[in-house]
Amino acid sequence: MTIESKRRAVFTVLSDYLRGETLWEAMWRWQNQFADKSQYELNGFLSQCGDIPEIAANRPQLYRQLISQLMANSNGLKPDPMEQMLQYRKQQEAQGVFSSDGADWCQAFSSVLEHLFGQLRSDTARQVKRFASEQAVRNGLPQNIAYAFTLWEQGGDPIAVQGAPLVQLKRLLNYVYIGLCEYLGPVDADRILSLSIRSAGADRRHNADPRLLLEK
Amino acid sequence: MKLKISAFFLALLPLSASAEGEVAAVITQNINILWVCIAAAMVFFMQAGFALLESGMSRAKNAVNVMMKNYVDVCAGSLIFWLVGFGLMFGSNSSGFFGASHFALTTGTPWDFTVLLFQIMFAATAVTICSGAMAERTRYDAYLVAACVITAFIYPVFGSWAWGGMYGGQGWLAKLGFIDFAGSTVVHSIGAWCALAGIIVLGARTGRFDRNSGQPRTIPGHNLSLVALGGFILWLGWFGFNGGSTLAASADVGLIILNTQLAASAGAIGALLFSKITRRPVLLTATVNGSVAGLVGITAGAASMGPEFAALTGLIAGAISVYGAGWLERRRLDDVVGAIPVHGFAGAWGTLAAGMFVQGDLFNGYQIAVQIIGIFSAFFWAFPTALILFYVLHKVFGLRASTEDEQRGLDYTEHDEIGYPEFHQNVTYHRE
Repeated sequence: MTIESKRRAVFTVLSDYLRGETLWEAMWRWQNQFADKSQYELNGFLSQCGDIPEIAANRPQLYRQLISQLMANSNGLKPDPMEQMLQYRKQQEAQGVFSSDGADWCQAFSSVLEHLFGQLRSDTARQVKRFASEQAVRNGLPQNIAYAFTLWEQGGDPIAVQGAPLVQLKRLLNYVYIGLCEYLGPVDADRILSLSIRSAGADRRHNADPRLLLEK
Repeated sequence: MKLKISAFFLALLPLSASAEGEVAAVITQNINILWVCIAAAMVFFMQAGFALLESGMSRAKNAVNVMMKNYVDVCAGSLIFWLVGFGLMFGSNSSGFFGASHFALTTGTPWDFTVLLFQIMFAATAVTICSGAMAERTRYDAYLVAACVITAFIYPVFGSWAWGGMYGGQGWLAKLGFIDFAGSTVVHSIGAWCALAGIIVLGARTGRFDRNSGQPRTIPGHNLSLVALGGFILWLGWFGFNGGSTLAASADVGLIILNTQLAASAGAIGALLFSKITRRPVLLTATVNGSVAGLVGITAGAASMGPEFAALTGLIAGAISVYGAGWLERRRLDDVVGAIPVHGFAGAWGTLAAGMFVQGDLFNGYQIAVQIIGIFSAFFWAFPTALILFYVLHKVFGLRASTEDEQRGLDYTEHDEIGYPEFHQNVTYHRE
């Protein structure tokens, strides 16, 4: 089952119980932490949403409905809500709910990646990008970030990670670093990462401090 | 103090023969205690040597972590060996397989306390061998648990086989006549086999071996001056390690320390020659490791072989350390400091050499067979036991640091301290 079908199933069930902001928050929670997990872990998702009264009160029914929707034919599912979810995120950024420097982070992270991959031969860059993408998916990095990285990898536009938690960007950067270690060795990886962070720090296109990507 | 003063004045008075004998015995015992305490202090100083050598061979971002492991090895190891290890190793050993008295020794003769002090230093040495091999990717708390188990159980149990029986009974290897004067096998190989198990469970540092070809990549240490200084300190400390193992300030000490010196020198030359012959670059790290291998090699037979054989033992041990490092690399085993070839392979060779080159009894077949039994029993005890230990730790606590921690360096992630905050060239972490 594709992630898109799973998302439609979760949305179909949750939208009967939740409205507006609460619904989108719950959807993003699922998207970031459970989208690539098995359906048997949905109980964990519902348990994590215990702070939402509508979910806490209807947990057994929700679980049963979710399972049956996932098992059933996809014809009865509502359309994919990804567009609306992204719109909700944009609104939040505009309202400053996410860090006000969301766009800055997007630029800063892009700048780090540009400087980093700019130091590599094209074939090595391709291998490292592919490696990092695989690691991101395999290790459960939120789908939107992994997807944004894949799009960036293919297109070259600034990576669309507005609103992504810094911790996830750090993880993504780490997968790139591990790729560098694997293909070039740890000595070069340290040098390239360090230089990229320094170069991105000197970049005037953003106000974010890329060194924060290296924090614990 | 009173005893010393009275002994001094008594020495000035005309005494009967029996009284003179008693005074002489007291003075001899006091001198022995003094010598063993000095030797213990020298063995303690070896920890500084290990810390410098291992830290220098690691990257700057892991320097503090390596130092911390060496430092805490001594602290935790001392307490645990006093509480459990000493009794298990030297306590009354009626079965021949483990001691069963003198745990947490609080009452005893001055000699008991002296031997305990000296042996604590040996235990700390055995366990610290692991830290270097497993550097740069091991979680600190999991490592400490392993270090405690090695000091409390793996090391003393084998020690009781070879050296046990100070308070009654005898270890089964000792009964066979196994020669391991100061611990080529008992201390060094045991530590190295534990380290081998550790690096197998841990896996190599990320990127250490090429993903496609499997070729090893060099990850140079951050400070080779520290490596050389560490080597010199270890060398100095080894005079106490081997010289103190007589447990007496006897006339033998001269030959033992001479043998130690010759073997260490020959070890470095052996490493150098082997590197040249096999067309490898002559590295400082390999040379220092060669001398340490020479020291490890002579440890078993320092008291029982002549200087010419001590030099030969060291020479071969040095060559083994270089060959062994390559052998491990070909098997994709990542031993950061070369602890396994230096302490394990050279230790095994030294133990064999101790049986081959006994002064006045060269190449005694029985002795050589006993030595081989000792070498293999050490491996088949320590390696599987440590493998189980590390595997359990890996599953229960997580032995391996995360890739994010590996990127940032264990100094920052494990200790929140930076070894070189002002001089770091390639910064892969950020700390406010």
